[in-house]
Amino acid sequence: MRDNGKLVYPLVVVLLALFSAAPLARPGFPQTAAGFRPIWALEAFVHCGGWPAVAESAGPAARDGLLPLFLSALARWAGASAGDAVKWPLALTAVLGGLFLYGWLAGRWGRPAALLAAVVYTFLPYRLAVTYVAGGVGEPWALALYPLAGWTLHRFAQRPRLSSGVIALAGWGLLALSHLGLAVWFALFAAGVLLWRYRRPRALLPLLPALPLAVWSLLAGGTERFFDHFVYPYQLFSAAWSTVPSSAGWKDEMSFQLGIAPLALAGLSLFAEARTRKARHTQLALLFGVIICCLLTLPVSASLWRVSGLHALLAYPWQLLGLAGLALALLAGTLVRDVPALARVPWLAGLVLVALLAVYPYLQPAWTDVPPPERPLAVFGGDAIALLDYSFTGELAPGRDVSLTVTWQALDWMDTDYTVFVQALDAGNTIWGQQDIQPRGGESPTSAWIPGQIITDAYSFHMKEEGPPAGYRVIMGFYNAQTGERLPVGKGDHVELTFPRPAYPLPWTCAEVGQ
Amino acid sequence: MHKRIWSAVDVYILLVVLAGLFAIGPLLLPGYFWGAHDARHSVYFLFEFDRSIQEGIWYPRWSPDFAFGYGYPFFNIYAPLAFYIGEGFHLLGLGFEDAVKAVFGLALMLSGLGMYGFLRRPLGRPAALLGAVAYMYVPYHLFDMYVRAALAESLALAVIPWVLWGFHETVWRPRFAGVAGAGVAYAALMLSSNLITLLFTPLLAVYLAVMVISRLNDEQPLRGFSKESLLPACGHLLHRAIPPLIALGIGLGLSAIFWVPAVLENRYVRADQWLAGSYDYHDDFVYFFQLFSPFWGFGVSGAGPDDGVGFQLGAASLALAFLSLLAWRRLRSPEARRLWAFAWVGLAGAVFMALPPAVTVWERVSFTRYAQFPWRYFSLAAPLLALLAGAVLAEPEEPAEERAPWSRQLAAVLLAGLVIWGSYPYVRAEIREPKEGPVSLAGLMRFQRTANEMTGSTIWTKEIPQWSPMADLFINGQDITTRVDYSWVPQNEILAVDARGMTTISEKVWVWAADDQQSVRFYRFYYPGWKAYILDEHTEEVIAEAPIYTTGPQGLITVPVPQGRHLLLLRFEDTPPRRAGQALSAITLLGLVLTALARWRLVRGRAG
Repeated sequence: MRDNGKLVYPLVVVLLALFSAAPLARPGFPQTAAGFRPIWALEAFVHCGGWPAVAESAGPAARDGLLPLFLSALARWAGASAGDAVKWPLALTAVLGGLFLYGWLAGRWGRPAALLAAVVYTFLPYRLAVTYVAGGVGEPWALALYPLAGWTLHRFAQRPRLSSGVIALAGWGLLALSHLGLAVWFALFAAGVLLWRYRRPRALLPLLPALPLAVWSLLAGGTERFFDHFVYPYQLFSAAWSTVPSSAGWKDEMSFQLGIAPLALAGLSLFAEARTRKARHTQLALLFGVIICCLLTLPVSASLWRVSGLHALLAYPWQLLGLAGLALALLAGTLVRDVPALARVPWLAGLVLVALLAVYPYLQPAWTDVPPPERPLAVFGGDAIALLDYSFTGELAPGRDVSLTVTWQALDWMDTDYTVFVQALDAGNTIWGQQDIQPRGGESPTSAWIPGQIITDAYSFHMKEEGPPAGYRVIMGFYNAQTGERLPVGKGDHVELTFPRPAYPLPWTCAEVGQ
Repeated sequence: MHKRIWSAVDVYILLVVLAGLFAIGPLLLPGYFWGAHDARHSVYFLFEFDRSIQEGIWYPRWSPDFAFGYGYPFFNIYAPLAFYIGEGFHLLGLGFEDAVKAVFGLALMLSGLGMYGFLRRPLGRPAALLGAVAYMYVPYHLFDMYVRAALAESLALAVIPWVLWGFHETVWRPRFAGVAGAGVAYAALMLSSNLITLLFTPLLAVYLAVMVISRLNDEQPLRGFSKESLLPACGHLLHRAIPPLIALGIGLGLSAIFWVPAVLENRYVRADQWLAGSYDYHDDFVYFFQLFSPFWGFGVSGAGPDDGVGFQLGAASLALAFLSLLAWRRLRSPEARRLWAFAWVGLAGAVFMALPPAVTVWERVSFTRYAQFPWRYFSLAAPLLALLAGAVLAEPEEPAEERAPWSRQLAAVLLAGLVIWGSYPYVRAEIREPKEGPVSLAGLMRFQRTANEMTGSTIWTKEIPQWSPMADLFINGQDITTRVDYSWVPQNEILAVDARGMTTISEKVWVWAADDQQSVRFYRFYYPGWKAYILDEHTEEVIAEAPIYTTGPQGLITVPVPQGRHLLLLRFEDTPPRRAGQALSAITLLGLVLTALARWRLVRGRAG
């Protein structure tokens, strides 16, 4: 095949990745399970150099790392809005993942094989689900950096020099700075592959820092909700796609499919005649990796996770699907490597189209056009509901009607249908006006709220005639109508609404932010 | 014998047609997609066109029942080719809806065949097949058919590749057939959609300039240009530029019957209602993400990113265009390479014009605003995208006429299948019952009432009507025997009026006036071409031409009548621009036919 120049193939990888990144160019912000948390985390980081408590929903190793936060902060300092500063680096992950994988493989398997692997990796359904359904910024970056870490480690294993060792360490370090838990898991798999492939323990040197970090993470412990999110085998092969984030149990609507195109191409690659015995072994190792990763996401592996304590590294077991996806992309690449006819442009184009068209309908994420506030005004139920905005109409005076429009964002699934209460109190806490009602008059119960969803609701109450002429305050909160128990918010059980609402923006106060 | 027939048939053409069948599938459903944006327009435009044709008017310009019966010079300013074809289907026995669907189907097939013909020589047959399929399935093409039901634009999209093919030939293989074909294709484009022609012509001009200079460079490398070579180079340039210029002349000449009056008399119709409100182009720029979004809908385009329609370029076609970067060095000839490079630049330009950063260009260059909607520039992007998609299959090894290796043929079919797969979810139409009832004058009135911003009027109309006395009659199923405004006739013995006959473009009335101060008003908008004559009551000879003035907020035709008993004839006639256009078209056609005959005789003589 004629050489088309070094730049054309990577350029095609980048151009094709536009399909994956383009949704992030839409005005507004994606409606994901993470809600506006990445924006709040960024703002807290920019203003106070720390994370807000609301963003700490998982153990230290399973949280978004510093790298995406730094990049977003850079974009923020460059003048981007908070939403854009989060979206731009995310869009970059869509491009970089494929580009790094291409760079890794182009010199080894040839450009066409590298191109196909890169495209398959770019359009992995799991990567799309992580970016556009699960949300968050750490994992997309980790997924983009897996190939870079693999590339640099591979290079060091082949040429164990100080410079390549430092580069490999930096590659893995960047991964660890994106998502520590995933970086440790990557190190585990990489160590296995390197030992098997090169049989030189020295090749593992750049991964040494993973050891103490893993111990530290394990000591920090994981969360019990991890065990509610195992994947059911059919979900790995299901064609279903949804923008609804993951929920506990088998009715989980989030897609965990491995992808028909990656599976088909990887499957076909096993039928192709490998160039060498070693190449065949590599394929089998990759296949083994896919199977192991998939098994670890299934309920059968629950006891293994519990005994090992490795669940402290991840928020959900299905986060290992990223590694499985990488292995599938590599396997897909071997198809073109081992069947030279497929490296010809028309056939390669066909394979690329298959990888793209198989996921193209998924590139339509749920979106919200509500301007994201720099911080939530309040967060109820630990990390369940955020109060984003409110506004009053009317007058807090005897005999008057008062209306309140509130914008909520669900941050987690809820089992209970909570009732909203709004009360106008005097200085002695006597109630002079109130409304108790389920959101949207019962049409949108909190148990049906989808994490990330924005709910705009209106409440109104009539002020009693006999109340004092002034000096009222308005409080609001949620309670369980069955038990009367209120959802905690901060240190109390209600939030006090300033009448009228103070002008925005309301930046984080550093006292609220964990340093 | 069978073998000979089979070898004479280009199997790829059959494949193009076969591939097109999937795209026209929804047209084969019973019913009609009445909910599509311009679905009703297309049917009722044809309905009005038919009314004129049935009266023996071979080139209709005035549509008598538009504007609630006040009439409108619709086909004087709107390209009529789609309706001639539709009328052909109607005269063959199809209903109006089916005739419109048939035009859509034919247009789609023609678009594929044209693209195949265009790309076959520079890129080879497999690439041409892929390009043709990509063109038929570019989402904007399907959007035009099934979401917008834009008949004229769909036909224009079908003609564009024929124009490109023709003009390409005039540069690279300048022969009579190529030049004449290019001219006829350009005329067809003009007669399909003047708006698309306006957008497309600058692109065509750049295309021709690039191709002519490329050809020149191949024959007389510009690198070795010197003072001495200036004159020969100019002569050479002229030599290469003449065939496309002649083709352009033929195209303009053949279509002069339409464009000369359209250009000169367009200023007499009101267009303000089509440029403001929901037609403000500022609201219709396409967001970058929409180019890649799989969203598809049957809503409308509006401000913000939540348009009810999809503006994707097409995943398969666009991906193939990107992948064509891998193949460009394999393009067999400088001709193909330059075509490829031109397509990239043109595509980038066309897409740019649809994006918000182009707003400055829209605001400063008035010409660009002819597109009305920024996304209409996708009609230019679509053929270029198809060309680039096809380029993936271009290979240098063998000349175009030889059979491509089976692997490439197979790849062409598979890639074409993938292109169809990519667009297949969008090949659907929303079949609905017509809210206006069956196609009829009553239906036309109901349609106009619900699309009142579309009611056309002339510049003499100060108040666009919302209804009319004629509309009442149509709705009640009654025939109109006269458009004389009897409410204008005073209820006394000063004036008597009796309608004596009416066609779509004329009316004869008997008039008796007690003095010279009387006039007769008609329920017709005034527009250049309307003439009034006073005839002798018995011999019907023209005594004098009567002046016409307009009265009322709707600018209705009013004719003063002399004292006594006369016949008054009101008639819509050809104006000097219309006659000039007709003459120009006739001369061009005659010249073309005579040249073809002479050439045929010459060739036959040589062969003899």
